[in-house]
Amino acid sequence: MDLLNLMQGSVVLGLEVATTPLNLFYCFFGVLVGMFVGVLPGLGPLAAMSMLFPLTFGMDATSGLIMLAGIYYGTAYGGSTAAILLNVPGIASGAVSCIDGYPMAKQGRGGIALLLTTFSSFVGGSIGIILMMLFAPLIVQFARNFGAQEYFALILMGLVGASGMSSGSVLKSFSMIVLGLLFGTVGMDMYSGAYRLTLGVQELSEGIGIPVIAMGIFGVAEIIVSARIARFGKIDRVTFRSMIPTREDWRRSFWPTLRGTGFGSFFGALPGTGALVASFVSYAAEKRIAKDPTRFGKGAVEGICAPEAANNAADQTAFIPTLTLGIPGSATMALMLGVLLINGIAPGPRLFVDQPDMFWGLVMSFWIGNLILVFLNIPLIGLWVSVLRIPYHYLYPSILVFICIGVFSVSNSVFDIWLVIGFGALGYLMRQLNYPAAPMLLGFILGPLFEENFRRSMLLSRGDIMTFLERPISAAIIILTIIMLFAMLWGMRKRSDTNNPPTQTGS
Amino acid sequence: MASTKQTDLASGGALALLGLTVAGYAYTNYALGSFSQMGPGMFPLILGVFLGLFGSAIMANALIDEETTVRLEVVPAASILGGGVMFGLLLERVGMAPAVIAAVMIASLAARSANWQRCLLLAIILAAISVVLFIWLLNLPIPAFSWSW
Repeated sequence: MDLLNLMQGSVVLGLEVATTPLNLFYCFFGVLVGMFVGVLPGLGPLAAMSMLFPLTFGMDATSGLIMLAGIYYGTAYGGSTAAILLNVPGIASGAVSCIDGYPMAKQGRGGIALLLTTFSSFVGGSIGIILMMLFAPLIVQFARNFGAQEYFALILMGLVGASGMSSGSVLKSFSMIVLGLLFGTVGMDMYSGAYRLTLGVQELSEGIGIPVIAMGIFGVAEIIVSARIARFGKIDRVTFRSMIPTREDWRRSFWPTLRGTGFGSFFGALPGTGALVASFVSYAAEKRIAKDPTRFGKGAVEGICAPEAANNAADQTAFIPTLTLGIPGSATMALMLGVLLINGIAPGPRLFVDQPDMFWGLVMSFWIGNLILVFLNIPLIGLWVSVLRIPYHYLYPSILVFICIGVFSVSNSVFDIWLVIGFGALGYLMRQLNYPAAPMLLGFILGPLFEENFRRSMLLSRGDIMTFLERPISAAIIILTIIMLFAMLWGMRKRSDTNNPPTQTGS
Repeated sequence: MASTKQTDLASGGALALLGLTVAGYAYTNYALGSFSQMGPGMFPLILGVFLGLFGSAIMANALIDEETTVRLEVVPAASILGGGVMFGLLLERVGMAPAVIAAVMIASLAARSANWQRCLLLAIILAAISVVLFIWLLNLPIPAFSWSW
């Protein structure tokens, strides 16, 4: 009973925060932008979040989190629209929905596919939020007494896990993490006040800004890669009448939606994996347990419901480690932490204890945002179809201009424009040469925390590096990290025999 | 067009070189301190050594891995990056509106399907939006037009 009362209090507190007019507006604005970006192929959640990141400077941290989070889970809803109607995934984790969604559209069942994916997205998202409400307080209880050693171990696990999230060479992921950590050291050293790696450039003395690096390697690089997207094929109008599923469709989608939610919740909370992995795994699982696997790829509703439920559930549970431990599992979550850091709030279990209104306000805004998304999706489907008709050669120059003005506006410095263009060039090279960009951003954002906890641990242990293995919890985390590392190296060996799954960023 | 063997050798080499340079620079220019009292140079030194190792391993791996081809498209990269550079050059010298128009026109060269009259129209519309939104509403300290150079 006690727990129930506690939960009730938290829900009320959260609703109070989430339903202030300002926060409702940011929630609505966030999911609207997210939906728009999700529908558009060629722009991922990371690009959108980093472009709007400077806007959060003027807000309080809770509002900033609500808006950025809205963009994030909004893209997961929008991502399936382009996948179904055009066979082009709007975002990476929507890629699996092409396999059965597009055949459905060709059979004239596109409307049904859209309605069912919205429905399973909502179910996946909702269950993900419930799990978050239940587990977050427990994890915080457990993590309350973590010291510098435990944090160092956790961040290490997050970084190693991050290199598992990209397909391709583990070596390249590691080198990108280290590069990101190095970019993170640029600027003033917090202990001694010495300027490091600034090369005498005065603008670098306060370090490289998170929006600059994020907009460069995700925004600018992404539009270079997709600038040559030609006009898409013809899209049929989607009427409301065509969206009504048959009784058979509902029956077939019930269990796949729940199973997809299960996979999604698990992979979302695990560092390094996330929506993309969850959607692939749940699709493969459905195909394996189906009585007639040959229906898959020809418009099976199971093949769209499971991955869509999975990626939406994963998007929600990804917040659990981020907000309770301060360890983001992906680059998008690292941007969420960036909002906290810029507001001078240290992420970690103390955040949950000291500022419950922030946590519960954010969680309750997820409910509101998910409901708004259902209403944005179904009645406004005509609008999203017309968004898909905008030629990309009008969009990308506009995005470039907004990126340039956006980074300039952060500190009114033209130098930041040179930096964002430089990181854009670097990001484009990385993408073409198969160096994953997400681990670099994660390394960059976590770098200062990583260094701080490392130095503090070593200070406490008087320079004994074994301290990380002497404390039981940090030892357990380090051992887990090593197991993860071996699993990854093993996976790399196996993968080199078969073909790689599609490489895309924006997890 | 290049093969992954060439690009991995080159990029791995560049990373290794960068890592060793940073390590050397940190070693010679910053105080290292001891393990129990680390100075500002210790962490960059460790990172530089790791980057050197990973870069070398990428080079070694390139020699044994199967080759595939890599495609670098120069035109879209050059025009989009060039558009951004032009924006940076013009912004404080001639003002927001001309900078936006120039950036959009140059960036538009990346797509094959665009024609220049429509791009100019897009550029003018975007310039108008930027001036209204960023200068009038958000008070960015940049003139819309300026001929004072």
